[in-house]
Amino acid sequence: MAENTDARRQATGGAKASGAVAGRVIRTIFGFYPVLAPVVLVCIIVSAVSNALPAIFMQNILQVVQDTWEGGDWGAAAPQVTGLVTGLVCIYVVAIVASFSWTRLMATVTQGTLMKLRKLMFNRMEDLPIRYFDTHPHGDVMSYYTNDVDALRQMVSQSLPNLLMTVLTMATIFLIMLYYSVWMTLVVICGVMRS
Amino acid sequence: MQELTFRQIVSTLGRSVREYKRASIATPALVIGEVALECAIPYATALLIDNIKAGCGFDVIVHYSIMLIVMALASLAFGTAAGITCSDASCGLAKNLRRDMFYNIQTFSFANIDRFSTSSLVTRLTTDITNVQNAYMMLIRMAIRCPIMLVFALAMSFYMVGPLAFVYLAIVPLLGLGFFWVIKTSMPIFRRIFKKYDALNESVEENILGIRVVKSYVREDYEKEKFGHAADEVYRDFRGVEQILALNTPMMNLAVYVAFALVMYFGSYMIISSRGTLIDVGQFSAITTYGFQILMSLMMLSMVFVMITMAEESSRRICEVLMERSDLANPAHPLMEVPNGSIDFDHVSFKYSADAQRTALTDVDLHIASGETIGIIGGTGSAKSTLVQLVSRLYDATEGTVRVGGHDVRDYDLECLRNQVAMVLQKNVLFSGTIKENMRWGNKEATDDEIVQACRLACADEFVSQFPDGYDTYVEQGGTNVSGGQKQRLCIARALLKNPKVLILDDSTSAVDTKTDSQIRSAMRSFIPETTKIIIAQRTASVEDADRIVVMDDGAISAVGTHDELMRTSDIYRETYTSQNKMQKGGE
Ligand SMILES: Nc1ncnc2c1ncn2[C@@H]1O[C@H](COP(=O)(O)OP(=O)(O)OP(=O)(O)O)[C@@H](O)[C@H]1O
Ligand SMILES: [Mg+2]
Repeated sequence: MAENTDARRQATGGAKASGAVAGRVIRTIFGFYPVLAPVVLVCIIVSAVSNALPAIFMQNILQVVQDTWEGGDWGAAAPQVTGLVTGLVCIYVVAIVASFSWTRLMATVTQGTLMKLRKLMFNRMEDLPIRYFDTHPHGDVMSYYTNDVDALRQMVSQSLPNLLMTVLTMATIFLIMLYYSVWMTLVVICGVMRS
Repeated sequence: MQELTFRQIVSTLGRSVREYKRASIATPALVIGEVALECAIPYATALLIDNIKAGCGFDVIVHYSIMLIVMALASLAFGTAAGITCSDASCGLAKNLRRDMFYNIQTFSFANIDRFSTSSLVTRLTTDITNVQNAYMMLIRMAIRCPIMLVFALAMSFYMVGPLAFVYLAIVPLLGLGFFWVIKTSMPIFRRIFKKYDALNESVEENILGIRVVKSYVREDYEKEKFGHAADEVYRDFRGVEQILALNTPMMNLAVYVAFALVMYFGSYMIISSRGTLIDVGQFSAITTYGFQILMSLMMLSMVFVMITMAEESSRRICEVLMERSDLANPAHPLMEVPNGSIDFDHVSFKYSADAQRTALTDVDLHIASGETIGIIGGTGSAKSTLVQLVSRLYDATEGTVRVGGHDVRDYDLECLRNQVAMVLQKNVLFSGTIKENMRWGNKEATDDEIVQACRLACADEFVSQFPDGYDTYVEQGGTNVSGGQKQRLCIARALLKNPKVLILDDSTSAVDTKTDSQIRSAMRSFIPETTKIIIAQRTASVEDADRIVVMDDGAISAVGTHDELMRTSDIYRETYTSQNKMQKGGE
């Protein structure tokens, strides 16, 4: 527990230390859920990629429309458009299945991690010598279980997956953009920098 | 506790915003600015593209680009400012709520605290406030941003492509229904969860405070298992509720994706079959952009819903604490002076809570003159502590009246009454701080001499002066670094410093040796003769020399009299006396 407290103190110190804490939290989660956590990770990756891919299909559909609208022959364009929309729908199905899976599994991972951490902490606490309780104010110890665990919940259930999701989606979109045009990508990057 | 209405909750929490009202109003205003600019940017971009298409000069492009950059920067500035005011407002609200709750808890009577339990109060002050803080942050920022974005994106879609945008409009009520279902199902679980959370924290608190007992009875494994159960319970419910809430995202994805697919297909059809007369390619491309904006706003909105659902029960629990009124209210025109130390119980009965089955005290009728010394004896659970707690109004009598100095205790100003009726509780506490600081709880203005004097009377000076730091010795939280008997003596000294008209010692010398015990009593007899003294004790030796002794049995007075009288008339007293004296002789 002393180690934990130190880590916590450091965490308020600087970004580097807080990164270390995040790393530690991630390791702990994977330690608790050696199967489920990787599954969640894969689902998040699939979800992020399938969030970004539809843009390509939409682009292609636009292209088809652009090429054919002047002809006004829906019958000729229909197979192409239908094919692309079907592809789109398939990706959507994958995206929904992935996001359904990871959000749902994440409930188990988050709450399970908290539960296991609480138990670990409590069991360690019961084994600590009485001197520990004489030298640590009760309120401090109490708040490990309340405030600190709450903060961890935020981190595990929201910050980490959101961060991962955002980074992955951005990376995928970035690659797609590069694929289309390097120069336009640079322009867009400058535009995006504002937020 | 009756159910609070939504309006009560909002107005109660609203009262704690106070000095953060400005930040709370500024945030939405800034957010509106940010969103307005953000929405204007794609429009300006579209204009730019139109101009380029129309073959405008380079100067027009530069003009538009500068405008776009300025808009982007301004939007960024608004966004950043909103972020700052938003965290200012939400942290401020949390701070104020904590303070308000803490202040109100200070006024609570024992009965009020019994009603909540201390660990529940701790959870309410920590977890629940954090939930409300997060929800407030969402409320003044995201909950403003998302609907505006949503409405704007919808409006623009209609403006651009007309009827095709109905597809987008159709998904909004559908999603609304979905969210409603999610909230409806998760709400009852949240109600349950927080109670279990209280139980969890109670287990922690009990173990921190009682770690000595746990260890000396080697109950660690049992306690671990008990805590494990509580943690499992919380886990099960929280997992269940989070699984329901997790449906938000896929549900919303489903709706938006269906809309996208439909727009893509029928949009293509409309353009091609009408040769671009119904909508053109530019409009078609714009509607997908707005579709993404709708997607993002709905995504955010679903997060807002999750937060608010979670915070609703928390706010209710906070309001319960804020709105709880101490049931020991001061009268309209309180008496500020206690004339003397006489005490009268007029047919007093008492229950610990209104719906309790048992009456803890039944028809107690006892009259004590000012300056008398009264001993109280009786088996454990015979309601000795309960009886004396009524004198300093830690609880109010259920029936009958308790009078001090001839007036009903309920007519006095509470602070004034408690200053004149000093009570050394059976479950005593010293607070972390120096001995001197602890002593000044009794009397803020006490001089060092007075403190030493009081400690002499309580036979505490003899050991305090032995400490290396003397009266400046630091007492740890809960007084763990002084012995049981030392703690009791310090608590007596603290009560003496009040210079009270009535002094009640509830089993306050149980851990003190018999010699010191009688020393303390004789000191009190000679130094504070006018003070009415009530001494509760387990040992008959501690009350033998009292003016009168009250024998309690199962919530009622069994006998009253002097030692000699009771030896003749009261079986309980005689048996207690003989068994204790026999034991002493046997032990020698
Ligand atoms: N806060 C409370 N809420 C509900 N019941 C209580 C409370 N405090 C005490 N009681 C009940 O009231 C009865 C009288 O308790 P009380 O503490 O007055 O006994 P006592 O005579 O002081 O015992 P002891 O000698 O052990 O101190 C007991 O049956 C107890 O269970
Ligand atoms: Mg008692």
